[in-house]
Amino acid sequence: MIQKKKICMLGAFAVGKTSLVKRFVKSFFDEKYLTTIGVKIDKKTVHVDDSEVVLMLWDLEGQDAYHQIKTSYLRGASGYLLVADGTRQETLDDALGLRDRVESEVGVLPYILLLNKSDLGELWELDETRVQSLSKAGIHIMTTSAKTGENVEEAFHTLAVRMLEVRNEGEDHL
Amino acid sequence: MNNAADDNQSREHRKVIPFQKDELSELRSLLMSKELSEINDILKRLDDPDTRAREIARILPKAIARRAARDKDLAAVLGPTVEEILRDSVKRNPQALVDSLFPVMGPAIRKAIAEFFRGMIQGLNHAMQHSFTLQGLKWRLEAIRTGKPFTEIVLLHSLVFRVEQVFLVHQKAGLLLSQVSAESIEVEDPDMVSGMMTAIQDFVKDSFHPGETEGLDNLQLGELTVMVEQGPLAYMAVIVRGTAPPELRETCKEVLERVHLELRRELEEFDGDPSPFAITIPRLEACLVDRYVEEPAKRSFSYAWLLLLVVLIPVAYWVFGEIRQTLHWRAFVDNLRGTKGIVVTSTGTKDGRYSITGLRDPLAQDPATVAASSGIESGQVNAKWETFHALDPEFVLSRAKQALAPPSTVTLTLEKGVLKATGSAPFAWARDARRFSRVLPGVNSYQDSDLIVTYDAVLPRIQQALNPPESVSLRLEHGVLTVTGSATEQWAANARRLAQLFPAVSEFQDNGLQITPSTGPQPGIDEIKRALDSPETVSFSLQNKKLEAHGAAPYKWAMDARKLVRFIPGVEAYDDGGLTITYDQVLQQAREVLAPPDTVELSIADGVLLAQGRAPDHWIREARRLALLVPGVTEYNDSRVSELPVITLEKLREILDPPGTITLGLSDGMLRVSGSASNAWISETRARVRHIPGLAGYREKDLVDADLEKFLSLQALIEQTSLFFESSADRLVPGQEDALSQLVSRLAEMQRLAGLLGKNIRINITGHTDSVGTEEANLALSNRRAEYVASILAGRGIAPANIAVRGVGALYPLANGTTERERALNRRVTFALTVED
Repeated sequence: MIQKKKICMLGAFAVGKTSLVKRFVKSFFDEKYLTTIGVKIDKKTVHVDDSEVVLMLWDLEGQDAYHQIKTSYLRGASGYLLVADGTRQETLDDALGLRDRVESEVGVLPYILLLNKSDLGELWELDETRVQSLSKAGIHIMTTSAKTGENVEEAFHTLAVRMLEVRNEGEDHL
Repeated sequence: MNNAADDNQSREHRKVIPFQKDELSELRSLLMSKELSEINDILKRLDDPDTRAREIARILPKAIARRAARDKDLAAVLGPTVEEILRDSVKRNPQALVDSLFPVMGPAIRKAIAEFFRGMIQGLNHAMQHSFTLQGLKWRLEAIRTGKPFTEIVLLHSLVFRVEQVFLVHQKAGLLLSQVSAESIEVEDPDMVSGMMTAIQDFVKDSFHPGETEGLDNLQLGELTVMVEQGPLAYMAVIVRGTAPPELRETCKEVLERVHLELRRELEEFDGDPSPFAITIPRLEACLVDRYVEEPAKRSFSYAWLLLLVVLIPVAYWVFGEIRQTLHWRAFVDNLRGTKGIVVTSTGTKDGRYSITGLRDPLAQDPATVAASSGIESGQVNAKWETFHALDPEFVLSRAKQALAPPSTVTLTLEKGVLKATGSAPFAWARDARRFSRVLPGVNSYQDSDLIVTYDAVLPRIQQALNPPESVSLRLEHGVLTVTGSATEQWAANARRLAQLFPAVSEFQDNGLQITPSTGPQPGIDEIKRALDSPETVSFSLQNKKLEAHGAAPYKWAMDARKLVRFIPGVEAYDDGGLTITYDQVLQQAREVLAPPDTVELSIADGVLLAQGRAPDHWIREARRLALLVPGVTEYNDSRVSELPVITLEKLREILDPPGTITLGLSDGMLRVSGSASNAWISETRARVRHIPGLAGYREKDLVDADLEKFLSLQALIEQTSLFFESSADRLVPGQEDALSQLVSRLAEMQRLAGLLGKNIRINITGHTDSVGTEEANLALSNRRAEYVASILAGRGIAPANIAVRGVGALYPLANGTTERERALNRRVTFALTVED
């Protein structure tokens, strides 16, 4: 069985969203051209159990106080990866703010919080206590490095699994 | 009706189980009181319309949805009822429907009008695009002929399109539901393409905030158009190459509507599984249409021809050139074959050049001339000709004339191999002709019976040899030497013997001679000299009747003397061992007969003709044959003659690199040069030809030394130049700057050419005056004028050492000088150039 899922890459500028996608897929579109409309789309097929899941990756341009997320790009998404730069504390706050924005615009969706740039250990700024508290609050958190590839495949795969779980839960409810 | 009966029957049946207060009833009541109570409740609910309506209302939507999902029966059943309701509603209160449709009708109408105008503008664009082309004119004529609007004709012809891909994309998720593509279309990843199209649409919507029902309809990229048809739950993106017709959008709309109608629930509940939408593929394929212009084969045929023409023109040009060249070559070969005295033995091509071999009579036309008249450059042909003697009558006759060199009083004709001589000729020629004619190729026999032989030249020699006394007269006619008068017996006997030695004398007739007694003295030396016609360089001595010759004498005289001396009375022996025989005349004759090339030197010693140098093969062979025919040549030695290698005209061109104004010709190893060239080229060529292997000779024919010609031309122009002066002054009349500049440039050019030609020039400037004033004053003024011009020339680069000036006053006027105009002409300086080698 083939499933197609749209997932969005969200996060502040320069947190490594595009690098994570590049690590995960072989890009098809010209990045320079497509970023002019604020999104770059890639595709990656993963396998979850017996299912083939086609992930359509919408890599949205970095968001901050001056560049609001285009909510129309979130429409129809089945999940998203929330990316923060582990060397910049404020990007975690941005990520959590984005999550709230998503949930207010399109509802609750499966997501994973990725603390990226784990290869820059000495520059790591994130407070471990805060991370743990977020984790205890039910946020699925993974530490990734687009540079070394640490947890990149796993992050996308995990999100795919979570999206399918939600779908199955929905069917069960029916 | 049946249902109502069933209800009544059911109610009747229910009434037969009333509650009884007997034991059985009590037991039943104890055992089933609860069930009975529930049954009664159910019956009450069934009997109560309100309750039933409430119950059905609760499940009706779900029931309808399930039935609608299962098949189309519900729609089929409800369709007529809904239509009837709508009709009734419109009849009762149309305003209600108008109010309901109003929000959607406005956008729908606007969209329809927009579509109409877009189609119209599209047509106008095409019309404008094709209005000023040949094709456009053709279509305009067709519009007039058929009565259709021009724009319609243009659209009819130009609407070439092909739908290459069709995407069905979920409106909300932007995920691809299904996709089809035309054959042979290279398809990029449809999922990503559809995702990107969704993103672009979202971007446009976010950027321009269109109405709810509006969206991106078209994307245009070059000749590709992405036509987007929006639906509430899905949209279709159609990739069209070329100009899509308006009806294509209608088709897409219909397909999208059908998809929404048939798969509404699946679209609404789409969660990423595209499998239910596989059934849309046939519908999407219906959009994969294309259209070609009318008579596509004809158009492609035309374009193909155009392309073919573009390719064929240079090819045809090349082929034409080749064919023409081939025709010229064939004409050349045919002309050669038709040329008398030339036999072509083989032709062909090698290394891109033509080659031809054969035999050629030296008297035949030059093959280079034939080539030129046939359109072939002789440089294109490698030709090798062996010399032979053609037996065509004209060649035989021509050769005979050349060999026999008949006097003008003789006419030679040739008929069936018989060479006939008529007219009159000296005996010597007639004799030689008889002898040489036998060896002429093509001459089977010689006939001179009609030739009148004259003895004017030989008779004096006979007289000289016979030395008759004054009493004897000699007459020679038709070979008969008639002797009359009186002479001694001794003289008569000697005369009889001597006469036989003269080939001209076939018969000696002395019947009319009266014999007188012998009283003759011994011959003296002077008498012997006269008899032998000896040259001054020969001296004689006579002792004991033995005559000895000393000194030097030509070969021919020496040979004649040996023959004649025996008939001199009183001379019984002859010794010319002291005589040095000279062969100058023999050598001269040998040169005339053999005509050696420049590269061959002939010399002769003791009758041995020696040739040395280099010569073409055919000359070597010809010389061997002719040399021994030269009187005085007893032996011919050509061991020092080497064969010249074959050289071609092309090779000569390569070596000499002649300018385009020069024509080179090569025949029998002889290079002939004509045309115009610089002095340097001519000088260099003269020097180089001596060292070119294979070249038997070099001749210049009408060769013009361009530098010399220009030199002489400039000289003439300069010497025609005059500069004019104001009256009584050594100032030039204004306005002659151009003439002066021209004079200076001509002089400078002459000096340059003089250097090239190895010449020296001297410029003589002569000053003149008019006749006004005294002679002395005029001489002085004219001299100043000449010096003035000389100073100007020197100031402009003409070497003063090469300038000489003089004044001649009014001695050489150009005009009479009676008017001011004529006097003005006389106030001048003139120029003369002295050229020295």
